[in-house]
Amino acid sequence: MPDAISRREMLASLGASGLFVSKASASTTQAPVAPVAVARCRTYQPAELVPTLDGMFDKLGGLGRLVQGKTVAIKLNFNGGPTVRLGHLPLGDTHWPHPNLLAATMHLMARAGVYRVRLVEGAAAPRTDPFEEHMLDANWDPRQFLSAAPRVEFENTNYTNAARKFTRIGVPHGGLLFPAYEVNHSYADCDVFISIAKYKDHPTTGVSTVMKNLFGLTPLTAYGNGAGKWEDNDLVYGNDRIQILHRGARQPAMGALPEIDPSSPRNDGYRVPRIIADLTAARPVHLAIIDGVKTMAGGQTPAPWCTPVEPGVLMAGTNVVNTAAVAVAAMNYDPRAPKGTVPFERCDNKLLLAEQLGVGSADPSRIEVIGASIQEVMFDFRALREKQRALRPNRPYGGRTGAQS
Amino acid sequence: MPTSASWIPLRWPSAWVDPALLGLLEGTPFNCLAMEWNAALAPVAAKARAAGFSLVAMGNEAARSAGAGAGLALPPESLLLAADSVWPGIASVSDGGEPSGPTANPWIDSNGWLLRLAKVRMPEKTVWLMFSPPGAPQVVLLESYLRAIADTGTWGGRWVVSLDAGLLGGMARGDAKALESWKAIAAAVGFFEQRRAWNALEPLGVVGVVSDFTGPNESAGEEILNLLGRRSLAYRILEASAAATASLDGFKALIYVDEGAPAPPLRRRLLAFANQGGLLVVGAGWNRPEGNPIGVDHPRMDVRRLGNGRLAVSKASPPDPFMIARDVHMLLGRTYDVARFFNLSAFLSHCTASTDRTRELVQIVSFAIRFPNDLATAWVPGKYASARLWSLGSTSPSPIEMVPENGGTSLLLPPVPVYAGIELFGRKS
Repeated sequence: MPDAISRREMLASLGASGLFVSKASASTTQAPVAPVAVARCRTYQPAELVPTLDGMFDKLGGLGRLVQGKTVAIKLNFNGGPTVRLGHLPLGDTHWPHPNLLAATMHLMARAGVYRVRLVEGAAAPRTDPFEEHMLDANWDPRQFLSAAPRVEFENTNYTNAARKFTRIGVPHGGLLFPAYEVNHSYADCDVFISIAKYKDHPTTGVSTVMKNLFGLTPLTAYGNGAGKWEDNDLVYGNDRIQILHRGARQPAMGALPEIDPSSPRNDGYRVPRIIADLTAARPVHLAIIDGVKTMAGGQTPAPWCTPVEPGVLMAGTNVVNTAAVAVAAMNYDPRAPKGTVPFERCDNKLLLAEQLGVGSADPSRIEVIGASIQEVMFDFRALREKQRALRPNRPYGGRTGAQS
Repeated sequence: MPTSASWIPLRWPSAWVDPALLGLLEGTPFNCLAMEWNAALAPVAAKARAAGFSLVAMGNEAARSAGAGAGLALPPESLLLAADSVWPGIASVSDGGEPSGPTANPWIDSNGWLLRLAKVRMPEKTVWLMFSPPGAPQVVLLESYLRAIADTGTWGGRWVVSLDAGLLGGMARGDAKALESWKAIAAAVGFFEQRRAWNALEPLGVVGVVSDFTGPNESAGEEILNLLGRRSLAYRILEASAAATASLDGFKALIYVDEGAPAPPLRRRLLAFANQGGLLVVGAGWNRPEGNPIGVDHPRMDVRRLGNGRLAVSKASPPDPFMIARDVHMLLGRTYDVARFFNLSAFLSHCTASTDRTRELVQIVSFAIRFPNDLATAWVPGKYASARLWSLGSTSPSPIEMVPENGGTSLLLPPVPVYAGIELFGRKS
């Protein structure tokens, strides 16, 4: 197992991110692969985080090549409300990426010469609420990030904001559910796009990692339950995407294109994985970072049946599907499992869908894992899942409502 | 006989004419019976008087007059009877659903703001809240009574405890469950009575609400207090007549949205506050706003730089109290929160402290019906030597585990189905 990759490999991995994919591939063997760095990390102390991350990024070819002189957008993974905790645990210990991990990443990017860092997320908060206030509501301190890198900006991507209109990102080869998606300009106005997320279970799509994080690219003002009803004011209500994206009960607002086939299944296990796969192809990820130091099993957002866990691992890769596949394998799930089997009991496998779109391979046997092996960092989410299912046989695994976005 | 300031009132049911029912009050804190007089109550009144109860005539003028004729006291001037107080709880609509605001959070009916305002405007008076439980067919749960008591006691008022027909009937019959509920209600009332000293603590908060709270400003001013509380944005009240000379130390934002122009001394005072770095939020009637627009694209506020601070002029006339509360919070920023709360979905809080800050108190009244068993967390920006928790009806406090978080302290609490009182001692920073 090599400790580092060459410049040529680094460039190849950037291509694998999807930017340079010329056409969709239905073949497993043709889907791009890029190395995934895996490292043990037991705490969020900067003294452990920074060198661990630094070593991982070095193994991927170095951050400088990726971010020097660039504008970087980091998609956070703020699912659920900022004041909802699993027990007493801060959000960064369970279902949001830990703020120290984010700050450490930004610190390393600053050291590597990043020009600008924009922290982006679709926060269910009114347009006039600064995004930093959403962080404060969760008891995060935004100053931690402001001092970590130059020109740090915050953007609530549920709104058009300064751009005054959304940017349309098309899905290569036409898309699985929608041909294109309207997104905040920040997702397009960046040189480098990073997805950072916990790995955990998810009631609708089986697992939630750096791929599922992209579901949040879709602005609530266009795809949320209240879409089309609040364009004249700034009050978001209905902070999920159940009606339009999960159920397909109506089409999106704000000029977003309607779905390709309105007669397709109105089932979220069919729809949501396709939307996620579409988005991984439409908005390529240059760097995917998985926070598995601490997380939770049993769901995406806190619920009484969720369990806090400490796998003590970080993962990073330049191909979002590859990275997700390694993470899913390290959860003791099969990332190639078909619908109807664990962890995709009631949904299509979004990794395979993205693979079919040519974004990246979901086959761990084809992906080079650098650093710790999957076996070494394996944490048995499957066992916890089976234990919970025995306790709650008639409930979908992982959600208070059974449908969360 | 206790003085009126010490009266702990129970509304005695007019139909309870059997003096033996006074036995239900043994071991409870109640020492005052509020009666709507009828002649059949004479034996009860006689026995109650002999047992040391104070008797107060309630009801309409005729009933009060008849009560006075029978020897009952009329409510003294030292009492403020708040007839328009509400049954605290999540507001319900005719179809049984819960109305919600633009935030999708349920509306909460509370008397907290009323008690806060009364304490500022009439500090010498004891406030009696006169609300009654909802009538049939609504079933009144014990938790609803406890919330009503907590929503009154947290802000230093007294509820003239009024029981619904179902509970009264059960108590009169000696029904065990009804008696158990009655015992819990009495214990909750006793809990707050034993902690009247808490009312001497001063409200924390960096937001000041300046108003005369009368005439055209009554409704908006009161609703702003209500909605600031709903956001857990701690505030202090400044009467307009006193604000020109009152100390503004510790304030970061002032709200003045009364109709018409303020008196020149008050205007000068408010402007000086903004010039020195504060945020001043005013109504659309603020003539010729000072300062220069800072270019913020805000749908409801014209935000202007003024000296070292900001002047925000509401574009709406009259201002929407909901929006004023929201916009003040966001313009000021959560950096100045005196507390933050987690896993509490529908609740109100009241944060107070001794003048020297050696002792602080965070009280929480939870109205949540869904997921009331989630562990709760309260975060406060300081560090403390110790913390302890009082639950409703408890006779001794429990220690609270404190965990450093984000420069302050997270207080790890059990579920808060109705009430938590958190005492903090020895502030270190």
